[in-house]
This record gives sequence, C-alpha cells and structure tokens, in this order.
Amino acid sequence: MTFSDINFLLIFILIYVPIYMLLPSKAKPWLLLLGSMGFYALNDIWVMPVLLVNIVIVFISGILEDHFFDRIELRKFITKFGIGLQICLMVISILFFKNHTFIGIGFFTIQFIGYYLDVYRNTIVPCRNPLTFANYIFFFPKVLQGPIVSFKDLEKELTSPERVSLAKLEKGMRTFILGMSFKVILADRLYYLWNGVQTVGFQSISTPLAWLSMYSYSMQLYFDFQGYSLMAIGVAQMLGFSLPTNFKSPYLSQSVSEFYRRWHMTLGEWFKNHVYIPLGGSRSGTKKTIFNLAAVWVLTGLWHGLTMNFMFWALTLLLFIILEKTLLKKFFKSEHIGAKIARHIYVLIVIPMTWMMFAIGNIEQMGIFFTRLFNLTSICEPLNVNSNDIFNYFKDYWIFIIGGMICCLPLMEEVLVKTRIYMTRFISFALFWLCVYMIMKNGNNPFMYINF
Amino acid sequence: MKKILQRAPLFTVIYGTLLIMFFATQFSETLQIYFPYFAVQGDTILAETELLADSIQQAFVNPRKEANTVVMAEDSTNISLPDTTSSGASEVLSVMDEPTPTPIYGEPLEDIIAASQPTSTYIEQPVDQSYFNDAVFLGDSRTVGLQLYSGWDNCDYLADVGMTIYDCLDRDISFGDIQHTTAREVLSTSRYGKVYIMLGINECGSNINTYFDKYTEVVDQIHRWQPDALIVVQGIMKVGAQKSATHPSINNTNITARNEKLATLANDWYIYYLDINEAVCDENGNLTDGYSFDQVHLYAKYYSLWCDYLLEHGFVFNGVRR
Repeated sequence: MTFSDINFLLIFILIYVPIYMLLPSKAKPWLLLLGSMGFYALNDIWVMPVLLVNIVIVFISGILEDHFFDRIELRKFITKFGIGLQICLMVISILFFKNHTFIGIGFFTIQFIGYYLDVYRNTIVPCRNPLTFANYIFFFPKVLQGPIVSFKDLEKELTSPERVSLAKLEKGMRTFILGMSFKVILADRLYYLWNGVQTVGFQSISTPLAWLSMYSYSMQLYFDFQGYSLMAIGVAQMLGFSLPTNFKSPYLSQSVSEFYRRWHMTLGEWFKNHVYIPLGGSRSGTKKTIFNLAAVWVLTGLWHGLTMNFMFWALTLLLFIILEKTLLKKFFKSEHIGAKIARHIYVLIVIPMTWMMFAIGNIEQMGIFFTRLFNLTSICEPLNVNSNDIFNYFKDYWIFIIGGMICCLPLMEEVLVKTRIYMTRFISFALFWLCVYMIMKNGNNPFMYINF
Repeated sequence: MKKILQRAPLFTVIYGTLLIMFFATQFSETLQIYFPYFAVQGDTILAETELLADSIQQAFVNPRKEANTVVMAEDSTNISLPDTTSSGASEVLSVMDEPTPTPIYGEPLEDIIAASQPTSTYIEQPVDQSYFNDAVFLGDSRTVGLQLYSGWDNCDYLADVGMTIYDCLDRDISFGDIQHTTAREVLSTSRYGKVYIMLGINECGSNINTYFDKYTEVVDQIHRWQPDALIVVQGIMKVGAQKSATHPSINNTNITARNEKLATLANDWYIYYLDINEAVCDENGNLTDGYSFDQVHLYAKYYSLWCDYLLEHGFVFNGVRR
C-alpha cells in the first residue's frame, strides 16, 4: 500500500487523521506506532519480525554504548558489530530474496547505521524510550522511501506530539495533493512510454525515440520520487511533523555536483555527514578530496543495488564531479552568461544519459541503447526500426512531456503549496479528484524507488 | 466546526466529498462506472482480468496508420488454384467426404449459410506477402505490435491494447484514418478474404468455458458478415517461463488449455487453426528467454518469427466449392 492508493486515502483521511487529532497527547505516539506498523504490515508482513528484532538490537546497543560511556574499546566493538550486522542483513536480503524484496531495506539500513555512528560520536544521546525509537524507525510517512531523517531531527517532534494544528493539516494536504499529482498524473503516465520502449527492444527504436524516451524517463524518475517525497512530507505535516525537503528543482542545476545537492538531498546529506566529512572532506588537499568523493560515490552506487549498472552510474557521476572540481574548475566558477547557459545545457545532457545507466540493468542492453542514441549503426546494426515511432509516441504523450517540463520548475510548488488564495485551493481540490479518478481508471503501479 | 472550515477549508472539503463519494458509489451505478474502486468489489476474477489489461495497457502506443483503404476481396485475385499433386487431391477428397459441419454456436445458421455464397476449402502451403492483401488481423497488444513491426502495410489491423474476446467487436478503436470506430462497424461493412484472430491473453483470468463460448460466438458472427472469408484462429502466444511460473492466471498451462479448445474450432472448411508458438517457444513450451522484455510481448526484432510462420502456413483456396 502506497500513498496513492485509494485504501490509504480512505483510511488515512477519513479515519486516521480525525482520531489522531482528537486523541490526547499521551496516546498519540501509540496510535502513530499502530498506524506505522499497520502500514508496513500491509506492504510486507513477512519481514516485520526480522525488522522488530533488528530494532530491539539497535535500541539495546544504543543503551549499552551509553552505559559503557568510558570504555572506548567496547563501544568501538559494539558500533562495528552493529554496522556489520546491518550491512550483512542488507546484502543478504538483496542477494537471496530477489523475488521477495525487503521493502525499504536501504532506508532502514542507512538510518540504523547513522544512529550507530551518531551515538558513537556522541552527536546524539541514545534513545531510552522504546516507543520513541520504534516510532523513529517505523514512522510511516518515511518508512518506505524516505526522506531520510536523523534521529536528532525527529526526536524532538516525537517526544512532543501536541504540535498538531489545523494550519499544518491544511498545508500538509496541499503538499500531499501536489505530490500525488506528480506521481499519478505525470510519473504514472510517462512510465508507459519508457515501458513501451523497453517492450519494443532498444535495438528497434529510432534515434529520435531514444532521445525522447531518455528525457521522458528522466522526468518520470523525478516526478515519481519527488511525488513520493512530497506526499510523505504532506502526510507527516498533517500529523504535525516536519520532514526535510528532498528535492529542490534539480534539473535547474548548473553542474553535476550541484545536481546531487538538489536531488535526493537527504541521502546526499547523510553521505556528507557520515562518510565525506568524517574522512576529512575537502580540507586536506585535492588527492584526499578525490579519494573521499570516490568513497561516497562507490557507497552510493552500492546502496542503490549490487548490479554493475549502478556502479557504472556512480563512477560516471564521480568522473564528472572530479572534472568539475579540477580541470574545468574555471568554467564552473565563471559568472559569464554564456557559461551559465552552457552549464545548464551540459547538465541537461549529462544527467539524463547517466539515468539511462541507472535504468538499464543489463550492460549489453545499455550499450545498445547508447548506439541508438547516437545512431552508431556501424557498432550495432538496428533491427526492424519503425521510423514513425517517434510520432506515434509523441502524439500520445506530448501533453505529459510538456506538462512535465513545466513542473520541473519550482512554479507548481510556489503556486499550490505556498499561495493560500481560494483559486489555488480550488485547483488543489480539482487535482485531488482528478488523481482519484485516474487511480481508479488506470490501476496503480507502485513507486519505482521502492526496491531500494 | 466553523473554525475547522475556516482554518482548514481544503481538508474539510476533501473530507466531506470523499465521505459523500464513498457512500454515494455504494448505491449509484453510474458513479460506479467512473469510480469502480469505491464500490463493493464483485467478481474477483474479472477484477484481476481488468488489472492485467491495465498493466499492459499502452505497452504499445495506439497505432494510427496513414491513409489506409479497405481491401476488397470480391474478385479474390490472389487465390491460386491448388497443386495437382496426389497428396493435395486426397486431402481435398477427405475434406469433401466430411458431412457439412453444423454451426457451433447459437441457433442453426443453415438459412444464413444457404443464402450466402458457398464457402470454400483451403490447402496449407507457403505464400508470399501479397497473400495478405485481403487480410485483416483482429487482436490485442500483440497484434498492435505486429501492425507496427511486421512491415506489412498491405493488410488491415483491428487491434487495440487490452482487447479481449468479450469486447473485441464493440471496443472503440482507431482504424486507418478513422479515429473512433469498432471492429463490428468495419467487419460488417467491408469485405475481406482472410480474418486472422489472436485474442485471449488479457482474459486468461476469466472462465475457460465462457471464453470459448464467446470465441465461438465471435467467429460465427464474423462468418455471417464475411461468408467468403477464411477465418484463421491463432492460438494464444505463450508467455515466458518466469511469468508463467509466478502469475496465477497468465501461465502456459492455462494458455495451453485454451489453445487446445481453440483448435477444436477448426472445421477444415472456413475456420483454420494455427499455433505460432512453434515459432517462438523453446523446448519446454515457454516463450523463449530473451525474446521479450516483459515476457508477454515479443521484442520488435522478433516479430519476423511470427510473420515468417504465417507466410510458411498460408491457406490457399483449392478451388472446390461446397
């Protein structure tokens, strides 16, 4: 069950929110835990026990570290053991449960590891309330796909649940509707374009269609993930919590490194705080900086999946980021208008191409796709290409492609979330019912990012 | 209450409308059409079928062919006389010895058949592309794929993504320049020499007998409209091994059972059965690994296997009228 599921809308809006608002503060965390566990169980009841045991282990480790405050060696051992266990669990679940993916495993692992590291480095006081800790891990708006929150950020709100207000409820609703529109109206439609291209087979697509599908996929991925993040933020807001922003119009960036400061920001932040900065960041020379960046990107690649294409994707990005920071530094610092335009174009060509590495799991197929993208007929002979395919696809998808381009600007968020006039409320209301109608009409496909 | 409406108007209005809609759909049939999920779910099998139709919906974009005129089959130009080999002759004889098949479905069709032109018998042999000059293909997304990637533009296609035997005649489809039409409209007003059908993957979840009865009804109906036409029932193309092993209804056991039934429709008179699975399946009877992305639709480059099979197994009029 995801947020754009009719069951979720009915249960959450009609039943859960009113009860949550009416309950006394003391009972709220319990209802929250109940809701979170129910939500997770509906997605994947079989790994619930594993997860619960895991939560107990991490919780006790935290308390032990606190208890043996002055015994550094023992604390080191607990931390290493704990992190090792989490990584093993993630690897095992990815390698051995291919057909039965452990939903949200990447997000759990990264939060557990973050918790261990934060406790070890004394940046947080270990949680002593099991209810608060379970709520932190299970918090249902973020449980499946983030945004990734550190314990420190969520703890305050979890321990003072009286923060609910009608103003937040209203704002949360607006954010939620925007996210749902991104997901249901744009991402779910664009999905069919990419799916169609895959069904045809990359060897048989025309070069224009290869480009169209590449941009379509890039938008689909953005609206899918951003849509989910906004819905998560909206749901949390309705209950009085604030989750961090995950995207800041990334396609308007002017460099690959900037793009990843604006795309899946909470993951980037996590890697920055728990890997990049502890290793020394950019303060000890160019060589060390490159090493630290490489560490971050190799880990990012591994986190997304243990297949070659993710490593390929991560290393390509690493290469571009290193280039931006070393050889092409002057160009990326230039204030000249021409340089700015060139940088925008550069991002809009490089990033979609790297998404193709992300999207196509099979290296050989990836190669074929790139030969079609650049029409390299000498390397790979195209087979049975229908040269009209681009028109067929464009005729069916132009509205979603144009709409998607507009929605890549921060415009929609400004209008629908931050403006509070009756007109925008009416638009939100109409979008809500359009989404409900489309969900019912077209069925629902789960979020793309759910396996990570 | 007034405070809530003032402070959170959007939430309140959505709450109210959602509640009203939820209860309203339980009673109003019109609303149920547009908001089916709110209504109490009925037949789970049907729901599952619809779900699949959704999941492969738009796997291909809807085809809209350029200028396309209906090929008239009145003079049957491409029909050649049979070979005078002994085997051919004996086949003709054996066909002629058989009693006139009785109509398979519904009330007797004798009157209609008698009123129409006498129907002919055919011999299976290799043909070239011009054989399809007077052909029409009726089918689902797989036939849409055939339309886009066979390279055959000398025939017509009445194909739509998600088409089933239940809605194939009345579904709103585009045909050539015409944006909105139905197979019923086209088949009842134009004349064809051959009608090729492949339908059944979307409705794998439905009851096999209902499916077969409906198929028989559709074939009979087409024969009424096209009394001179050869009707080729193509067995449902199978799915990949993994899909077959994991899907509750879209699996090869189910498909094989349906194909066995479909094969019985053949009457060696005007209905023939072809199983293209011979061309696309591996030794275990699954769609060959690597031929398909989603294990259901062939990659564009492999449509030639289907085409070649159809060309290998053309049905040529033998000149004997019954």
